[in-house]
Amino acid sequence: MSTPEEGIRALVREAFAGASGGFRPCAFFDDRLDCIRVIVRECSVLEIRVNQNLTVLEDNYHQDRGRNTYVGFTVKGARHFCVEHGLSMSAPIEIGALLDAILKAFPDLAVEFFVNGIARQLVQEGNIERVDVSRASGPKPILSPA
Amino acid sequence: MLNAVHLFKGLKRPLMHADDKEADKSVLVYSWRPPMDCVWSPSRFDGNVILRSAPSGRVFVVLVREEREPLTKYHNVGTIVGSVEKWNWVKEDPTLPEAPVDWQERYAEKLWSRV
Repeated sequence: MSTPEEGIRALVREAFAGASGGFRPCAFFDDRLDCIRVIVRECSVLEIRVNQNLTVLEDNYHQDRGRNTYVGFTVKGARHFCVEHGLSMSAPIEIGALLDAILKAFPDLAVEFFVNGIARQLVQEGNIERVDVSRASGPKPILSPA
Repeated sequence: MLNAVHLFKGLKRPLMHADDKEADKSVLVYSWRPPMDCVWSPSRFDGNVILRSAPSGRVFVVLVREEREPLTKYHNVGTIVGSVEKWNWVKEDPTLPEAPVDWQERYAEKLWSRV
């Protein structure tokens, strides 16, 4: 009789049977939750909300591993954000341009720290240049008049 | 999720899914403080899971989307009325045990609590 851990292990191995290699730093568009996710290291994470649109990911166990605290970030409401800030979704978006747009959209100290103190270092560490948002194609959000 | 202590509904942020411009309204959020965390070792691609004590001061949050119409195409699992979209840890609210911090700013409404 297998333990719950063994059962999970078997299910996961089956699910990733067609995958080759291991985890790599990545940026991707999460279609179902309408987010751009940047993940540099895979681990158990704490999500810390910066504001309605931004979340930073912290390693739950960074202290006992002596590793970097932050491992990624999320831009939520990505379709709306890209349309509102003139970022075309028909081609991969430069992460640098995305971060510049975030700074412009939310001019406050918390966001400045998030972008310049955390996010830019993460994308450099992960050597992540662009994010493919082609899955976001389809109906676009209609922006409210300012 | 059977141990969830709170259930919230609706995300307070823009969320488009397919042609649904108000997909944020249909998201359900379960939260509670489980005793254990599961950690991949070294990576999920290896399939090895290690159980360890849950990080303190944090709650586990699971996001579920209600399907607009029940899905019947997966015959081996029956009718699907909702899908787990994501799970993660969030800091615990200082006043509402086992709820995420700032839950009033994150979610549109609290459907129930079992405190």
